[in-house]
Amino acid sequence: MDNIRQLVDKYFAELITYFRNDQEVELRDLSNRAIESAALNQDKTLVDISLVSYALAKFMTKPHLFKSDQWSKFKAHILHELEGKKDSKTILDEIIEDVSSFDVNLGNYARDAIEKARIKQASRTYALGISLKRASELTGVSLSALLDYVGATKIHDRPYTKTKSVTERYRMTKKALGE
Amino acid sequence: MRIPCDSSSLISLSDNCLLRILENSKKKFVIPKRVKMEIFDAPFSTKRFKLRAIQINSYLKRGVIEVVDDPFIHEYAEKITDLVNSLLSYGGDHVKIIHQGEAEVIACAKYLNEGTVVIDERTSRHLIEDTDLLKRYMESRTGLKLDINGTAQKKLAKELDGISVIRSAEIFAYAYEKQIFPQYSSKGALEAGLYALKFSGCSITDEEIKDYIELLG
Repeated sequence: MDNIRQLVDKYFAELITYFRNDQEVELRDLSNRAIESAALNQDKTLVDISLVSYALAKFMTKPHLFKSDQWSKFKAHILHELEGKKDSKTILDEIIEDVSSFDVNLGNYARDAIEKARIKQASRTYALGISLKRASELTGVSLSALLDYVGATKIHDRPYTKTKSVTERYRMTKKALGE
Repeated sequence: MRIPCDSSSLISLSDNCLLRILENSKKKFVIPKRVKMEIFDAPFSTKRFKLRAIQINSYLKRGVIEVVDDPFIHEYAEKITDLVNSLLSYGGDHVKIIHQGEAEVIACAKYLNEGTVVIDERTSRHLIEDTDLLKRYMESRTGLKLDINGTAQKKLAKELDGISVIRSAEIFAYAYEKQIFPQYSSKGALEAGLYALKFSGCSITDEEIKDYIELLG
C-alpha cells in the first residue's frame, strides 16, 4: 500500500510539472504508465491520473483549444487546483469535471476528452490481459463503448492469444449447436 | 441443452444484426442476471446504445435468450472470481484479473450442468483453456515477471474442467455452413461476417479467420 501511495505522489508531481511546461509527449507517456500501474494495483487514483494526463495531452494537440483565448485561463485554473491542499483523489475528481466541461464547451466532438481517455485506457488495460469487464469497471467506461473500441485495435492479434485450433473449436461448436 | 452467453458475444452479434441466428437454433441461449444488466439495463439508459438494448430486449421478450438466476450462480461466481484473482501476483500483490460478471457465465454453466459457454472476450477464454498462456501473454504485455499460484491454478483447472468456449464467430460460421441465411452463403460473406464480428470486439485472430475460410469456404 505504501508503494502505491509513493507511486501516486510521484505521478501526481510529474503531472503538475509536465502540464506546467506544456510537455504533451511526457503527459501521454505518464498516462500510459499510470494506467499500467493501476491495472496491476487496482488503484482508482492512478486511473484518474492517467485520465487527466491523457485529456490534457490531447488538448495540447488541438489548436482550437490550445491556441484559444480561454486556454491560459483554463491552464491557470487547473494548475491552481493541482497545487491545492486537498487530497489527490478529490483534486483529480474536480479536475475531471473541469476538463470535461472545457471540452464540451469548446471541443468539436460529442464525446469529451475524459470519456475518450476512459475508453482508450480501458482498452490498454484489456490489452495487458485484464478482463474486459474488469477494465471497464476500473476506468468507468461502458462495456459497449469498450467493445466498439477494442474491435478496431490489433489487440486480438497479439502473440499468445490463440488457445485452440479453429478445427478443434469448430468441432466443439457443432457438438454444442446441434450435431 | 441451454448455452450460457456472455455480454461480449451478444453485443458482437447484435451489432451485426446476427442475433437472428440464435432464433434459428434448436438450442436455448441463457444469460445470468448480471449479463442482462450489461446488455439491456445499462445501455438502455444511454443515448449511444439504447437502440441496441431495445433490439436485444426483443430477443429476451420472445424467450430466444432467457435470464437464469439462482443464489448458486452468485456464490459460485464469487468462488471463481476469488480463485482467478489470486492466480497471478506481482511483487507479492495479487493481480485482479476478472470481474464477477465474467465468472457468472461460467457459474451459469455449472448451475445448468452444461459444458459449453459463448464468450468473445479473450481473458475469460484464456482462464478456462490455458492459464499458463494467460501468464505468458500478461508478461509479454507488461514486461514483468509474474508469479503463479500453483494451488489456485490446480483448483481452477478442476473447477473449469469440461467447459468449452465458443465465440460469436463460431456461431456465425455454423450458420454459414448450415446455410441458415441464403444471403450469407458465399465465401465472401463468411469472411465479411467473421471480420464484422472481429471489429465488434470478438477475440478472433486474422489467422483464425483465414483458417475458417479454408475449412468452410
